[in-house]
Amino acid sequence: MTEQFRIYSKDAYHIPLSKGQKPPAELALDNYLTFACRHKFCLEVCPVYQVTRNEAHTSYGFHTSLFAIWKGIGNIEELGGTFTHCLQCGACEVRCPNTLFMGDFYKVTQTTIELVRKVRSDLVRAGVGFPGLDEVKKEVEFHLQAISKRDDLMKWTEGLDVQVGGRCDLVLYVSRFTATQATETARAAAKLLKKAGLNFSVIDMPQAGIGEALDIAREDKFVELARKDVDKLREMGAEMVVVVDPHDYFFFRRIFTRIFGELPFKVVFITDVLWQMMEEGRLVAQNEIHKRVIYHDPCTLNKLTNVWESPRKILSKIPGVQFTDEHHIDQWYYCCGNGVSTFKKVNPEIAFTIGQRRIRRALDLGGKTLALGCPHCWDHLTEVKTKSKSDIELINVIEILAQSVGV
Amino acid sequence: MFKALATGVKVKRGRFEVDPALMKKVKQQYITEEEIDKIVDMRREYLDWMQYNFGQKLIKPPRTSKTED
Repeated sequence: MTEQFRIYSKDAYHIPLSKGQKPPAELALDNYLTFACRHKFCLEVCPVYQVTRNEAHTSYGFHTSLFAIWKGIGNIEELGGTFTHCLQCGACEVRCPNTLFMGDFYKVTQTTIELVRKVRSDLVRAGVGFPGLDEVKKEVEFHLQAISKRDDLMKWTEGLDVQVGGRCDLVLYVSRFTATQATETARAAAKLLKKAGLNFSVIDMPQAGIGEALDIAREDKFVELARKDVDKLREMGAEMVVVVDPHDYFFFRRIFTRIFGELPFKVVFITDVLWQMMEEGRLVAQNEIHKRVIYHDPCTLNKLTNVWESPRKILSKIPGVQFTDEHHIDQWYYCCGNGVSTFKKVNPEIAFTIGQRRIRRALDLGGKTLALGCPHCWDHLTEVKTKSKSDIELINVIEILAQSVGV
Repeated sequence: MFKALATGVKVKRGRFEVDPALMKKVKQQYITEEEIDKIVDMRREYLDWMQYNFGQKLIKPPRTSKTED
């Protein structure tokens, strides 16, 4: 199935691993380039390595493990335990000099996230599996059932008096997770766009938004759902799609474009639009919000799509907010612990520790409120906060702005 | 505008790129112009961050090199 779509950037990744067989030489060469680099900048920047101190849980370890199999000193049955220790946060990819200092020149970059997804899927296809696989499969099945339930999926729009579906230049894209688990964020986004006087429509019954499918050899389902949404947005006549969930933003900007080529509409993240509205004077943050705020950069924005300015600018302009800015490059080292897809379901203890460290860091800087840009971070850190009995407030930047604007 | 000083180097959109014909052993991957832009932007931001955190002083080069006659 994978050969039909460009799921991966590198051709060698499309050749599946099999039990008892050497990986293809082209993949071994790619692995060797990391094994032989010796920089190991991918270690300390990795939030998982910061907890486990196990080199096998890093980009260097993943590439080396595969190279070892090619050298005949390992087998794919051993890979599950290590390849599940990746948040897919992208820190190693961007910190690696192969990407940061040479990637644009040679057009060869570190692609750890794709490698991890490939190996996990290959393990499923080869009948080997990996720890926590059943949990991940359940999550995908849950998503597939949930996207057909209109009452749940579109309930967040009730009482907002916004257009749902139909033709419109500007479309607000809210996928299943935000629509059902972070409804206040979705509602705040819609209210702010409305307050700014923008004529927009909300996508009706979105289907995509399940990155876990790429981890369990269900690439076909991922592509099918993505295509449905892209087709729907095209039929709506969308020229600009405003995305509320950073995970979806990452999918649109990095994965959908690889699979479908250039999209027929522009994709922007919600805070970029809101900041533009503030600059143009169409949104005025007038109510004082007395909070001591630290901003947490979501990995899918900061490391994977390089969006970090607009949330900071918004927070800086809200009256009453005491904003302590942690540099976005420093935050390459951070993650909430949730990960972009399966990590939390497979490694709940490590996910908890990473989240706890992130909250402690915010508290150390004198923060009482941790402002977030991602509903998945909010969901995971809320769990961490409850379990660790912390009194830090967790709230999305969009919701703080909505309070200040008064919607 | 930049001009490539070495053979095998191309200039595209004002940026240096290796001549793809030279990439025979290690194959180039599929990468969009947007992703290239992202790498270039992040490198600039990273170097600014390095300078801000670790650039305590700027060492000036000597007027003449000691190894030159």
